[in-house]
Amino acid sequence: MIVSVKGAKTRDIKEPDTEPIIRGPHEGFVETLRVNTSLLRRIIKNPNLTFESLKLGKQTNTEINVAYINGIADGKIVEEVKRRLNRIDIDAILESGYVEQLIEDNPLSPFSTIGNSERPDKVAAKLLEGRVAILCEGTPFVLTVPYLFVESLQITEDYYSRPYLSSFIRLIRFLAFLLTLLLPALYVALETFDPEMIPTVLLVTAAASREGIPFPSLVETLIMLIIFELLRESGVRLPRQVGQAVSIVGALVIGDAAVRAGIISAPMVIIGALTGITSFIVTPLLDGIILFRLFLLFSGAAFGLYGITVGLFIMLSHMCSLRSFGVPYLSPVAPTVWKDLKDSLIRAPLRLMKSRPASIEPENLTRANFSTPPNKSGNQRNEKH
Amino acid sequence: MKKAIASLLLCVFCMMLFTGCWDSTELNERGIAEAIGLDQNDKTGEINITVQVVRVGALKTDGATEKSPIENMTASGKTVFEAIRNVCTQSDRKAYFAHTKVIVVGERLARAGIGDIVDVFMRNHEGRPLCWVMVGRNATAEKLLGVEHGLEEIQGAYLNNMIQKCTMTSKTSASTLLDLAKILSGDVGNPVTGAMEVVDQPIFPAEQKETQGDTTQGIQLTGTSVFQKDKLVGYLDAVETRGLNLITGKMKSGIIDVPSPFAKNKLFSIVVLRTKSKIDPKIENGTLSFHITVDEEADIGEQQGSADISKPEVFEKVEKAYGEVLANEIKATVNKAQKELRTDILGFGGALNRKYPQEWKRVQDNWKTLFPDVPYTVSVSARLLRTGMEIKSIQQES
Repeated sequence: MIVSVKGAKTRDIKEPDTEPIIRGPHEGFVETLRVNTSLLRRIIKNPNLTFESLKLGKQTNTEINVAYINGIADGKIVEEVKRRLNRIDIDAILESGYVEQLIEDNPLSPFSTIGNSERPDKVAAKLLEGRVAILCEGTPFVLTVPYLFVESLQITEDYYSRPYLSSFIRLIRFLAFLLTLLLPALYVALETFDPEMIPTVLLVTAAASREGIPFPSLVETLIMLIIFELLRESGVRLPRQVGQAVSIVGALVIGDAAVRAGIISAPMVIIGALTGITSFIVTPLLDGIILFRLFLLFSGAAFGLYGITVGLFIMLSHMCSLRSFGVPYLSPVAPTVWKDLKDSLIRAPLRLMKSRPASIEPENLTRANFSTPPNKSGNQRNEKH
Repeated sequence: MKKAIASLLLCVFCMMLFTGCWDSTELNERGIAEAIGLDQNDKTGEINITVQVVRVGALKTDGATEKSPIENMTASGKTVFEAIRNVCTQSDRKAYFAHTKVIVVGERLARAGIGDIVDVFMRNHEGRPLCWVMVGRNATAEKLLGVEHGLEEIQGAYLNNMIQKCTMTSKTSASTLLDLAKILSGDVGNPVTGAMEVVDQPIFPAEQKETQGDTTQGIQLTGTSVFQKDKLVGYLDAVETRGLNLITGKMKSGIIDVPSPFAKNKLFSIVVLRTKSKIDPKIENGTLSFHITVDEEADIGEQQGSADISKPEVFEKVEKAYGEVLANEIKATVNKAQKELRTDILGFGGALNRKYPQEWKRVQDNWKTLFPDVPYTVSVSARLLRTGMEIKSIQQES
């Protein structure tokens, strides 16, 4: 008997830098596909967890695994994923991002309709909800489909901690999304078109700090946003030791010197900082946010609050038109799936979330059979599903 | 399909341009006007306008100048709007009226009529219907807006805060542009609003007395200015104003001095908590009369003397004296309105119109002559609720 026991050196399993959490497992995927599948298998000890292998990339022959749970995931979605994967004709797959961009429903949309994660527990949770995962050799980022808007507000920790704090933080995340999208546009629109909406004392203070600023507020806002993006990019690219120096210089230059020099007004620094900081809370949406933030900023600067309203309307109608593997991107909000709203802007107590998200139409909807409260016929009701 | 999309885009684009308030103005091109003063020129009869604009540069946290935080700019014109535009000839910034808190009308112009003023500020899209309209008693608006007093840096904000607190005493009154417009556009009542006058204030610090004299100027709210339609006809003093507020139900708070039933020259201070009032017209045998009902609840805030108000009978005596004071104040105000001012500011006409619309139509044209002699009755129900933190008197002999 001959057995091949060759093995290449792989990276250790470490906590992922991209999605740190406080409570919950701290392990993350690595670059080796087999390790990643074993990480998933260790969480879902169930023969129905299926990995289907295929090879993509004419030159690289990268191994791709489609993972789903037989009997939970919608068979049609699984078929659709495999069909789209098989259609890919490219010479190299270097990262799962290649796959993502080649099988997207709306390649031109700024909103991503395919999710990714470095956390095995998160991917396992998605599989258990009836989603399909795509693992790719050579990257710790695992794709999950279908990917809806509400998922960008969900963090695994929401489910590990109790529902009240989780629900509150979900709302905060949604607020962050609105702020990072709208704040610059609202500032410009209110200052130049509708100062009557600002309380008098605030208006006088704002006017005092704008005194002597040479630029119109639109230009001022653009300067601030670009400076922030510059700082962010240099902070990511530079080695960590140098990065700190950059952030100190950035904080001093923007926060203090620019205001003193009379280039940027003090409220603008707050607006810019808030916009930048809140954008990190909803990172999965960053693509769409950056584009539409500018779009709304310009329409607000040209037409005031009315322009922002029209701009938001255009953005919303675009989001409504999006599909992720046949599932409407904005569900369960639009179209409304009342049952799924328990896990959208709030996170209902686990005992109330008895079924998997119905919007992605899993084959088996029942997640749990809680008999609460004990004297009511809760059991029988659940069996009907 | 392409045609449909193109026409839809065209529609969206057109919609953008069809809106009313277009075009942007940067904050540092606007002059935020906190107060407006309007006067009639003695010689030409033209309208003089004083616009109080905030000099925002003086309010900067660092690098602020020593200049005053406000700048009064004056101009004149045959109409109010022309006068407003003429301000531009001396101003480097376009005055912006959406944050105007107070419109002060000089006495001379108020006697000539304020209807046109209400019209221009209600018509203009920048004007706010909720800004105060006040009359300068024995003073021009220009002079009133020039008085530097109060803790606020911006004089307009000082006036606004002072007017907002007028419910604390109910001895002054104030009307917004909207209140005036509502009454002037109807034909049942006559508007009233507050009045302001310039008073002397002691000067501080004492060293300045040597150079600047003993006193400086301040502004004080005084009573009520009464209009017949849109023309100023007279004033109510502080107590008469309180009577008016009692009748119209606007009495939110205030201190009423009630003579002590137990000792001579001693008073009780009563703190008013709630007031409800009703004017009920009655037609009996063809004669018209009005019945004024006032319900008031109050606390005892202070007592001079040493009566034991923990005893129910003593308490009731104070209550009764308090009711009498209220009834007298109401009667004094009605008499003043009927006999002296001959103007229905009490809402009698409105009450009649609501209850007997047919009768009102009949008397409407003669109301001005009928009102001064119309009979009325007053019934007051005054209730004292609490005695404050002390039950008995501190000075009480035990």
